[in-house]
Amino acid sequence: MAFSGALTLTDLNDFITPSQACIKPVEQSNPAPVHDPGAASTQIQVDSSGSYYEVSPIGRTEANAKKKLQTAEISLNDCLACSGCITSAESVLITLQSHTEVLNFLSSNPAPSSPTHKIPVLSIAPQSLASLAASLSSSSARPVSLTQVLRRVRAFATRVLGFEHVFDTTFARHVALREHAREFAERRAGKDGAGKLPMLASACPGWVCYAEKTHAEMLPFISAAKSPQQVMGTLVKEWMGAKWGKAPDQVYHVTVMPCYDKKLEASRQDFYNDVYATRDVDCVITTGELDLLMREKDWDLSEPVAGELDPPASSPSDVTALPELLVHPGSSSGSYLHSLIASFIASSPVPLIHTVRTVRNADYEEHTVVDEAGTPVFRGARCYGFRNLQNVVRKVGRDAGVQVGRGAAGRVAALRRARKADAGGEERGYNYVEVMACPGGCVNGGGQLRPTAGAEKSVDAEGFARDWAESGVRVEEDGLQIQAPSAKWGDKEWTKKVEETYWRALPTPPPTPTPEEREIERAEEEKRRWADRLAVEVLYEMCRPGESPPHDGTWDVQMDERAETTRRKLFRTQYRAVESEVVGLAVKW
Amino acid sequence: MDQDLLARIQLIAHLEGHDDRAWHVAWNPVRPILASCSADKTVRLYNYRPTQNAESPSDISLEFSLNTTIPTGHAKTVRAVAWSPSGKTLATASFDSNIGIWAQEEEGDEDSNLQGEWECMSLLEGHETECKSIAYSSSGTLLASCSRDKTVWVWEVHPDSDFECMGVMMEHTQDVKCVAWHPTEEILASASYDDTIKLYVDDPSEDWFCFTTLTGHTSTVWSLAFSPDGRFLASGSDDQTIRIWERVQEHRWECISVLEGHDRSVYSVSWGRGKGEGHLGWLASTGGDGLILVWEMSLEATESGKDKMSRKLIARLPAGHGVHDINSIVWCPRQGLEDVFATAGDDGVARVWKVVPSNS
Repeated sequence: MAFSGALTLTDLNDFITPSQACIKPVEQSNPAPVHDPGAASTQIQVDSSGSYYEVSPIGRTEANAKKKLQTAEISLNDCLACSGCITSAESVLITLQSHTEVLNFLSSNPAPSSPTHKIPVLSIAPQSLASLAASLSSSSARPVSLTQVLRRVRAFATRVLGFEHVFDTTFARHVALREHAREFAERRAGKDGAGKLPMLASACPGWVCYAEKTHAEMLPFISAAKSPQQVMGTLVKEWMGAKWGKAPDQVYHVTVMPCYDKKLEASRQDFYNDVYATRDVDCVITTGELDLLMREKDWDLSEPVAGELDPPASSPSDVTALPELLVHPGSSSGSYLHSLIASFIASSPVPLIHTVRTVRNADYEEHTVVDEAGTPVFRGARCYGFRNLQNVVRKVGRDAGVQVGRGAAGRVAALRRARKADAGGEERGYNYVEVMACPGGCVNGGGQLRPTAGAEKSVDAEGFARDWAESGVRVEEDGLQIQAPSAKWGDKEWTKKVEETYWRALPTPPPTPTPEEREIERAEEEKRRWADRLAVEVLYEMCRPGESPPHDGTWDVQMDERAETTRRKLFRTQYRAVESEVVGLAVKW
Repeated sequence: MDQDLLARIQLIAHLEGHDDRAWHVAWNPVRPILASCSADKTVRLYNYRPTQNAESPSDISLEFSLNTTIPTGHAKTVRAVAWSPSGKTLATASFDSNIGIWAQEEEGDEDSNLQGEWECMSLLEGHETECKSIAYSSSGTLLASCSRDKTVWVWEVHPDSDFECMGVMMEHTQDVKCVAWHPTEEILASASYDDTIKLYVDDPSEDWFCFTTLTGHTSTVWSLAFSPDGRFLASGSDDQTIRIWERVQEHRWECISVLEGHDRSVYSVSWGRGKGEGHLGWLASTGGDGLILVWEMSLEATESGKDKMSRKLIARLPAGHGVHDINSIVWCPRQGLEDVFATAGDDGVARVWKVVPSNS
């Protein structure tokens, strides 16, 4: 069952397995006593409480017989710096970023009147809302929309937990998508220092982590644009913080994500503010952990809250208001490929045709944009899941002629490939790939809610609920019911449901919309315009303070060099290969 | 006691040359080539040709000569080798976690013996840690591999030494020791340190998945071999036994027999067609005790009408590689050589043997 969490940290049999022992050197900060020359070596003792003592076997006095040693501590960053054991990193991050940590913070946060009070802010990903909504919908007569769930969560977080602001991360995604498209244009234009093509999505931390550890040759291809979570971090700590008159360390930012690996992402060095000693996202909890939190506090998410059916605002109500639940058509994992294609088509002087081809299964789609003459002008792909990810790495490596293999054998193979590529006849590669580590993408993230136990299996082939054992059917595996598909693809059905729920925020407009539907559409359009305007305002307020953006300014506006440097610092990041230096235990067989 | 058996095992070649323990041997299914691999990171290829004994012309033997040594470039031990069914491609599984795909540069015409050097045509990366075993499917269109990282991978073979990953199965809870393909269908089996055997098939609309887990061994399962007719699967284990599993329904396999006789780990089993008629082939086993056993497997009609497997030990040879462990045993798949097998041992030697009737 670990399949859907292929690259997540949900269980100890994680795919990225501990490949070696922890290499963190144990620092000893207790000053060493001056030794007699020639004194005998010491021994280490462990007492019943698990404390370590250094014991000197000679010259023992009652006072100084034992010296208590410090326990070695390993921080999450140590773990991230080592290609060794993700599993230890997991246990560390579970204690560092968990719902109990959130509760601990909130209970120790001084009152708002205190100067040390931190403003608690919660940002929730739309995929997490979809997971909660799907779970609610499966047990209620009427489907629950993302907007309703967002408002119920907001009511819970503000009333019960004491959060001062609750946002969804779609505006941050709006900004991330703009920056993403901008970076792609830079790469395509061959701008100095703009990475290589094909550009690969960077929003999936599982993929980024995997590439850094095992496929360093892929790093120049991975988009440097920050993920929505980290853009949200920047917005909350820098932009909103400034509006509230608070420094970044006076804001406590919690995100709710569909994915455990987002915890790793939030802990990256690049997202740490050295000046204020704070992270852009202080704590990441998963959808499941939010659910747990609500249960612990006896909050019933199925209970409607006042105003939950009000249409989302289409203009700001206060200085830090963000457009709510912006819809980005395309994929439920952020629509990176689609938004790129959309902006590509929109900016093209000639009409273009966009075609989609499914390769093998729904998790691998090829998108081609051709001009009227049928000449391809853009080739992209959407690849989800570990298996497809492998093939992307191979294909991109081959097409771009980068060395995939390590070691002498790899060099020979690469040489051969290069020779073959020179010989010509090579098929054109992709320009862009939306890569996600989980099959099904983010709606099936490792941190999402799982279908209620038994809910899937207790339904027969025709969809009728029944108790197999009571009906006299042998439940254990037999020749007719082979174990795997039922066990594995039960989850698949659930993912489909979450996917449907995810898109319920935006009803597909029918050919002849009713006045109400036209009204919804108009409001959506209004909201999107607000988002575009706000994005540029944010950009100017952060990069060129005091100056207002040009009237028709877009995110693509070119500012002076200093402002552009600030923009890169705020909305882009970088990746680095993790060297695997440690040799595992000598394996004999 | 050995003379009571129907046959004896005769050494026909002693192939030295590896600088470290020899792990595995593989017979080219088409051409007269035997490959051996070793912890010295090389693969040695031997040619062989039949020779006749001047005294008894019916006694056909084989004469081996070193063809070439491939210094694979793998950074660590080459643990296993496998030939594609076409005999044109050799795959190497290494402890450096990679799989090498080797073929000869074609120079001159097809039948010419003056073919080029063996070159690495492709390197398959993906396993996180030591790759332990590889196998081509019977059609040659799929390649399976397994590793200490607990995963089993299926690769599709594309033209031009290109490969596409078709599936990554994370079913075992421990190191996976061996993969083996069914002789006619696309059914894959894997054996692990977690004491189980898992069988996989492709779901055409989805991915490869494990459809059953065979439990019964009480320790590591080291080796797997399907019977030539595909109805049975033999497994060798650290529990010193060999189990025979029968396919009783399309997706259901049951243990029908436990073979004993070894007093150390059974590292390798191989199920060849064998000589003669009226049986299911010959099963050879070896392991940490250096003992080589050859069984004739056959079906017996029972009163209930359902036939039942029976086995008969036909040959036995202790200390096949002296005091050393024997790491693998492999029957020659080529026509007319059904009584020939090769072994690889910790002494760095590959040996070739022939099963001959006791009375000859």
